Amino acid sequence: MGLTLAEKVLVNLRFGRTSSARSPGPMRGVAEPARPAVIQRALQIHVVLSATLASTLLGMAERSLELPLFVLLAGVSAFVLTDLLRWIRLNSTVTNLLAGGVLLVLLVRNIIELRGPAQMMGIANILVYMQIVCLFQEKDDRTCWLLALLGLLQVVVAAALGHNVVFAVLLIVYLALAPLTLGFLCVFREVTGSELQGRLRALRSAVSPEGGFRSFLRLTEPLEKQVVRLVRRHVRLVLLTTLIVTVALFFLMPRPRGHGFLGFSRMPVRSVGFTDRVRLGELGRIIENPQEVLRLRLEERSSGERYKTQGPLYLRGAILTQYSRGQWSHPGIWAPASLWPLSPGGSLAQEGLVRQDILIEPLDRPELFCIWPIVAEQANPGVLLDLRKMTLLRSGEYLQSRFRYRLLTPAFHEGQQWIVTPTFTAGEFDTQLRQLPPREGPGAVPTAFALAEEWLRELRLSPDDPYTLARAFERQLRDSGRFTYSLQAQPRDPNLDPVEDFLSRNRRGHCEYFASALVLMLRSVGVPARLVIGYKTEEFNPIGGFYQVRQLHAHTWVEVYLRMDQVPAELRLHGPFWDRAVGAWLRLDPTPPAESSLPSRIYWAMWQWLDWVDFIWRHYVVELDRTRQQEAIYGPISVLAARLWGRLSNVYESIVAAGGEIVARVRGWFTSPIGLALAVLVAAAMLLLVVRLCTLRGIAPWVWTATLFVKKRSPDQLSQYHVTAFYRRLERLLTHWGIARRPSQTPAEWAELAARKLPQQGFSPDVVEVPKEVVEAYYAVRYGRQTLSDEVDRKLHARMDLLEQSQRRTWWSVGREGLAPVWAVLTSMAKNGKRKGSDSR
Amino acid sequence: MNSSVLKNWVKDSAPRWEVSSNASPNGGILSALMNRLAQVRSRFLTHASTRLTRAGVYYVVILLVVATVGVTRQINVMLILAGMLLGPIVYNWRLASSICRSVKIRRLLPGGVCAGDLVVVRLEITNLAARQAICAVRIVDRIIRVRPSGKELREQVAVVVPYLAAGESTALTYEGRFENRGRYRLGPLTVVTQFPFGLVEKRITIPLEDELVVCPRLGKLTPQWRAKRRDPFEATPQRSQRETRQGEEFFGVREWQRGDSLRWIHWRGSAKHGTWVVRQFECPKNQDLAIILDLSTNGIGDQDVEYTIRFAATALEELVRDGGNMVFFGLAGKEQFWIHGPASSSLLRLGLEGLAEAEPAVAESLPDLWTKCLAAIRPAGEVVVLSPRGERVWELLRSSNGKPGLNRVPPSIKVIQVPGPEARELFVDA
Repeated sequence: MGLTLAEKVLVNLRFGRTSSARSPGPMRGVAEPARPAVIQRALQIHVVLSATLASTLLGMAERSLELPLFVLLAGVSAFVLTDLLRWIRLNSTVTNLLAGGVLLVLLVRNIIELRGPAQMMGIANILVYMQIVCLFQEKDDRTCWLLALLGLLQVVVAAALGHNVVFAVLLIVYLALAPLTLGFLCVFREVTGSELQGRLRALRSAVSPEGGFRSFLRLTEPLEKQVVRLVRRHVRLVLLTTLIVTVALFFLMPRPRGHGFLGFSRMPVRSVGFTDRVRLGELGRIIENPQEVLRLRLEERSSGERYKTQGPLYLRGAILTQYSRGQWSHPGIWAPASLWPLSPGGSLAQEGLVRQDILIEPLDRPELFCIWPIVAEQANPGVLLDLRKMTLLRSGEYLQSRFRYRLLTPAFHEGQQWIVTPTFTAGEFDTQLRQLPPREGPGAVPTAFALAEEWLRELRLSPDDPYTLARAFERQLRDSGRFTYSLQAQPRDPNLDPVEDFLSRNRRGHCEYFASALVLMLRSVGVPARLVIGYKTEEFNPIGGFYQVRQLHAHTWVEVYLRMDQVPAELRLHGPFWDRAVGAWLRLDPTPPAESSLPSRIYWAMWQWLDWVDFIWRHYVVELDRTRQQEAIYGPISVLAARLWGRLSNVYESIVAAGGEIVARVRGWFTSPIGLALAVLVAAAMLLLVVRLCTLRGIAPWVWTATLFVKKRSPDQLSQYHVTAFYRRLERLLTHWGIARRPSQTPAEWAELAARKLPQQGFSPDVVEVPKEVVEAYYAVRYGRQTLSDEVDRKLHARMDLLEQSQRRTWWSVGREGLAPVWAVLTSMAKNGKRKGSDSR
Repeated sequence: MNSSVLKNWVKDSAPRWEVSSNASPNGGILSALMNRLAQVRSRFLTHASTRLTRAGVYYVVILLVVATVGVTRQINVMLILAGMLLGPIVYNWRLASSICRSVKIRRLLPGGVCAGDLVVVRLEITNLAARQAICAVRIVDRIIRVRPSGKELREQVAVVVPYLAAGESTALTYEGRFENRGRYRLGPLTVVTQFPFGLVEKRITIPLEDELVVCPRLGKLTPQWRAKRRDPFEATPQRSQRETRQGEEFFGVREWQRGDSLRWIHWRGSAKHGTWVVRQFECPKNQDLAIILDLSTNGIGDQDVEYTIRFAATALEELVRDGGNMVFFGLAGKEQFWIHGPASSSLLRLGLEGLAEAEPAVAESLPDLWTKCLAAIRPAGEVVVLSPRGERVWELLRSSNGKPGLNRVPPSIKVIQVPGPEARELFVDA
């Protein structure tokens, strides 16, 4: 792996031609001190990249895009103007002044103005500004180290705050870039440090004549590229190893008791779509913010499996009943809140309850969202019920961190959320639900009255059937086509009430206009209604099995109060909630669907995958606590281990059962004297075979045995091994034959002696020259610095095999010749004996 | 007489010049043994140390902060970050140790170095690792002056190995000038590396030490030197020439040198002296020549001592260059040193090495040296005495002449006061 294309281009751009023009030969640095051009350029690039990435991570944690963009711009500018063109190079004085000034001003401002997490972010931002100043300094080792350190500190702050999966991916990229930067910095410092040392010595020797020793570094471009590759290889290795080890330790390390993820306080997300009051016309163009608000997982209460639903889900946040001049609010908004902790309810025995497992992001508002009605299954610390407004609230200490709560709801029937929700309070007597806007004067909404009456007439509706009337009004607003949904800011007449303007002049608007108009029109015909704000989502992630709620899902809809006798029979259900209910709330959503084009399938799939990965990341990494570790890690491992152990036990038992007889037979066989003797013989034969193999290979048996276990030798060691191997084998052979080399003999003299003696001992002429050949090869390798190729090695050993076989034949022939007279005597004696025997007979 | 002379100088100087006898067969075995001993010693005495660099200290502090915050606040991302930060520092430690262990170094020194010469020291570095290339390794060599005492020099030179593949060797050099004569010790070598991340520094000290003798700086003798030397000597009797003319017959023995035939080895002499000596068949042209350097005077300044030594070194070099003579060279200093033999390069080398370590004496040692000189040189030899005392030396020499056993034809003696006007006429310092 070489340099990246960008690095190659940049290196050639700056150094390719100039260096070749300066130094004609491949070796630079003898005539003039060497500058590691490739390493330096790689270092500069990685410093800028890691600085930008660190700031990006910090910006992600702060949810600010300006900071990374600013650093990116500064990084690119610094690289071009300072590193490439060398136009701007701040000296240390200017840098200190600038960095010190930035530090002083921002620190004072930070201490005075900011508090809490904002203060910590302010301090982190100071690091960014100091980094920007340092980027415009010449990139010596000190500056590079300072930039790396500042980047690391930013990442540390960011890691305390940012926890989504994109952050994690970028963090891994940074953790690859930072060691690369450190690696290049290490080499650069070593190389330039030695050069600096040499210069200082030369300077000192000019002053003092003694000493002045110096070394020159030979640096070539291929050598530098080798160094760059080596650094990258090590970084790859360390990153991979560390990642595996860290992940393993992270998941297996036991967690402490208590609640898991605490994290640092951080800036909560500003809720752009949800408020506890509605002021029509306040918002300009609504930007569909994909920032996530919460995740909702629906489970069967009994089995814990995912509860499959159809249609959109409406998560209620706040209820608004009071309308005045374009503003919706709750009548008790200024009254002291009546907050109660949510205690487990008494309807837990009911069938069909669905568990809502909700994970909500830190928000700037305390309202909690869920599908109503609710039953508390367990104590949810931090969840409070406002009885006056009938909303769920989050305690203040949990506002600035991610928060999880679990509730039960009966609001599903056959996978669909109830359209009519039973209630235990009688809403018909609530005057707020029937409050009407004036017909005349400021804030009057006459068109609502007129239009309602018109629709009553046209559609022949009766106020005595509020269900039919409400659904008809809803359809008129949503489906008649006379009203258009738009996220754009619409021009409104400031002299008119916004709803009046929406109904009479400009019939374009978003959900708040539609819902407000419907509520006012229903109230105008005597139907009690209220405005509900919350989130409406259909974004289900099939991979993660959860509903994703984002800022863009903020929605406003209408609820109409019906007496139980006004609820159509087909909508009534049975159960504790329905049986004890005195009335019901009918949910109406008069907002037409948006005209936005659907995203492409690929984009949607990618989006869902990203959501799922993010969910996994959060679920199993960021929020991994003792309980979840037990569920997700230890539980499956222990189950798997138990299963494996069971299988192994079964296999063992079956083997024992099947092989017991064989084992008993073998054992009995070994205990017999014949079997034992045979086993000893086999072992001895094996040992002899090993010794024989070693002798043939020319090495000691223990050495050969050691080679089976010791790692492979280096080429250099191997060549030495070969040198000693074939020559030693010859020594052994000839020594065995009585031609040992004396200390005063050179190998060549010894080989000549062997050549003279071997024919005398009956060796064939073709093997007589073998010692000379081996010694010649030994000289060539040992003293001539020649490499012993495998082919030559094989040939030499083949020749020595021939010598050995010849030696063996000679022994045999000598033995046979030596024993021939004895044999002749014996045979003659035998013949004579026979003859004598026959004669005596 | 020659064998006894050889025996004397071998006995006196053998301990001090043991290093110079590496080339002899006997010295080969000895040097092999010494090398083996040094290897064993280096194996056990190699000193290794590991430390955090400054960058490493900052890094560890950040790592501890991240780990502490991660544990106390249970921020899992910070725990992972701490683990990921821990990896590079552990890897740095292990790799740096591995690199230091796999470096093998051999130092090659130049021979015949005089003060002021450019010295190029060559370090042959081998990467013994089977697979692992080494990178950014700094090798620090130390140079310490051992003798003469009182002139401290401690120098460190660093060479950097930018990259060396597994199993490969490279040679790096450093250079400089020794401005003063003396015996210098090079080493031990220190192998330092912070590779790959510069967080941990591994340092291994290899006790590979070598000694380098830096001979005195040579000057130039003026034509008056030759003229002055001949004047008194030409008047001496020519009897000695007749006595010594024996053609190409056996003349004497000397120490074995590289290139000498094995046939010339004088076996009996070798056995007697404990080293290899060879027979010499050359016949000297003229008479014996002797140079005696008198440094046994209190109160002589350093510069004068150096000047005198340089004068003596240049004169010795001149005598050896002329060749053909039997040369006696003596030094009356803190340690008495004398050498006698036919003019040869080895004699010059030994003489210059003796001068390299010469120091002024505290006690008077000239008479003793003069006695040895008279015993060594043949009658009617030529003696040049270089002394800061000038004519006062005569008294000492005369008193020594009267010793029993030395009643023979006195040599021709020339005393030159160094430094002095006469010396300045004869010798031009470099």
